[in-house]
Amino acid sequence: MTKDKKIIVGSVESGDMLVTITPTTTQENEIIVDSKFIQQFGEEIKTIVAGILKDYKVNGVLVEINDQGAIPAVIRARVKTGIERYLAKND
Amino acid sequence: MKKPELTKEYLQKIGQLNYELEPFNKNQAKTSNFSSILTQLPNKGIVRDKVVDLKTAIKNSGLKNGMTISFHHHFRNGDKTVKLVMEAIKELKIKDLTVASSSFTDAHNFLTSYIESGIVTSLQASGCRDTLGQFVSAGKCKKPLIIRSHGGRARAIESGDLKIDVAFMAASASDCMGNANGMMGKSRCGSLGYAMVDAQYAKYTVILTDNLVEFPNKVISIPQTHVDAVVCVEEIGDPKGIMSGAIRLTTNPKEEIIAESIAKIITSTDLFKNGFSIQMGTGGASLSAVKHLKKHMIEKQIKASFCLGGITSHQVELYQQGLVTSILDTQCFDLTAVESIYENDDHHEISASMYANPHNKSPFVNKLDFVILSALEVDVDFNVNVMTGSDGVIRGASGGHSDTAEGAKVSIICLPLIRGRLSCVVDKVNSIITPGNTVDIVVTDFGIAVNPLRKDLIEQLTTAGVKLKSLQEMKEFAKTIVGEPKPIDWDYSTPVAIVEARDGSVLDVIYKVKG
Repeated sequence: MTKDKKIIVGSVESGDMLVTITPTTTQENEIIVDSKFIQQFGEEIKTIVAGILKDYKVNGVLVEINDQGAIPAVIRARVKTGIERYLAKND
Repeated sequence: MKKPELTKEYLQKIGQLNYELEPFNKNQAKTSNFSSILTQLPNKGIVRDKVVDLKTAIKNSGLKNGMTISFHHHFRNGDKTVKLVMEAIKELKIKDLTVASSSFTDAHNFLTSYIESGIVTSLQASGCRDTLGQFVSAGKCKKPLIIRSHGGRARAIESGDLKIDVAFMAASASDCMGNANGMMGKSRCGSLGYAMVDAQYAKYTVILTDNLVEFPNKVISIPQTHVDAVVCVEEIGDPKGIMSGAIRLTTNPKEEIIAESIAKIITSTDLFKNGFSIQMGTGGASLSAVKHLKKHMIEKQIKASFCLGGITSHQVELYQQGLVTSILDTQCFDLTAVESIYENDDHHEISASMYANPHNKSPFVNKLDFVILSALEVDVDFNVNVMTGSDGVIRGASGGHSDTAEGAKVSIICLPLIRGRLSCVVDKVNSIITPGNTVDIVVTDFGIAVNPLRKDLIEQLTTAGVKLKSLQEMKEFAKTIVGEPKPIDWDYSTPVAIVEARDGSVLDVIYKVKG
C-alpha cells in the first residue's frame, strides 16, 4: 500500500462525514464506521457503503468512515465521490 | 425482554433502600412523613474550637462501613474536596459507603476506582456525567444510582429518605467554630445552597476550608450550630472550574431562532408585566432569549421582581441595570455571580430546600412565572429527558428541571429539532426526568408547541399572532430529514439508575445498554 493511493473526502463538521479509502492486500472490502450515532445508524451506514462499493464493482479497499451525523444523501455523495476519485487515481 | 412495569414490588426489589419506593402518579402527589435522621440532638458540652485534621474529623464522626456521606458540587469541575475526603477514607479502610452528592461532575470520574474496590457501593445525585456516567450505565455499580432533582434531594434529606451520616462541606471561609460561607477567600464558589441542607440534617457535619478566618465570620451561610468539625486543607477547589460545560452564550443560528421565539412567547402572555419572575437555564438559547427579553423590558418599562436558581452574569447584569429587584441564588454559575452574591444586598443566598423542596411550606419555585429550560429530548406527550444521551448512557443532570417545570406558571422547554443526526422530538423519551403534565411549551427551531392542557396559553399566544405547531408535526418533519434511528437495545434485567420525581415517587428506571 503506497501513501498516494489513499483518498480522503468530506469533513468532520457536524452533519458531514470524513471518508478515507485505502487499498488492502486482499480482494475483500472492509468497512470501519466510527460514529457518535453508531447505535442508531451504524448498520445503515455500512449497508449504504457496501451497496455503493458493489455498484462500482470495487474490491480490495478499506473504507474508514468518521461520521458526524450525516444523513443518507450526504453519506452516498461522500462515498461515491471518494470511490470515483479512488478509481481515477488507481486505474 | 420487555421493559418491566414499575410496580411497587418491582421497585422495592431493585432499590434496596431504607424507605419504600412508589411509582409516580401524576394524579396523586406523594407526601413526605418528615422523619429526618436527627432523632436526637447532641449535647457536646462547651466547645470553643472545632479545628481538627481530616482523619481525626472522620474518626470522630463515627463513620463506619455501610454509612452514607454527602458532598456539594458548587465547584463543579473545579472540585477538589471529594477526592481529598475519599483518599482519607480509603486510608482509614472504611468501605461499602453510599456517596450522596448534590451532583457529580467530570471532577468525580475518579470515583469509578473507589466503586471497583468496594469503598463506594452506591451513588445518589442529581447528575452524573462522563466516564462515571458510562461506568454506572454499564451496570458496574452494585446498587442503582438514585437520581433526584435539587428540590427532591432537599425533600429526601428532610424527610429522612436520604439519611446522611456525615456531610463534608467545602467552604471558602470558615472560623474555628464552623461559621462558614463560599463568598470570601481564594477559593470562592458563591452560594452554598445545597450544602446548607446537608449541614443542617446530617448526623455529623465537617466543614473543609482553605481559609480559616477570625471568629466570628463576617458572612454566615452555614452556622456553627450545624457544624461538628472544621478541617483546614490546602485547597478546596478551583473557582475557574465552576464555569464549564453547559454554560455558554450562543452564536448558533438555530439557537438564535429559538431564543427569539422564547422572547416572543414571554412577551405575548399576560404574565409579562411589572413584577414578573423568571428562571433561565444555562443553555445557549435560554441565555440568548434573555438578551431579547431585556430589549422588551426596557421598551415597555417592565421590571422583574426576582430571578431564581443557578445564577450567571446575565442575571447580575439585569440587576445592575435595574431590570430585576432581587436575585435568589442556590448556585453561582460564574465568577461574576460569585462576586455579586458577596457585594449586592439584593442577591440572596437560598438553600436547595427554600429553592425547590416540594414538601416544605413553600419553596420559591412556586412563585415563578416563567422558567426557560434546555433539554436533550422531548416526546409527543411533553415528557422531557435531560439525563440519558441518544445512546442511552447517563450523561446529564436533573438539577432543578422538574422542580421549576412544576412550580412555574409557564415552563418553556427549548431544544433544537435535530441534533447531530437525531430528532430531539421523539415518540417516547429514553428516560423521563420531567413529566409531561408539568411542561407547558416546547420551542424548537422548527416551531412552537403548547401543551394541550394549557388552553389559556394557546389562546393568548394565538391572539398575539404566534403560530403554533404540534409535537407530532415536528417529529414527522424531522423524520423526513434524518430517517428512522434504530431503537436502543436495553438490558431490562439490569437496572442502573432510579429516577425519583420531586415527591419521591419513582418516575422512571434507567437500564443498562446492551453491547
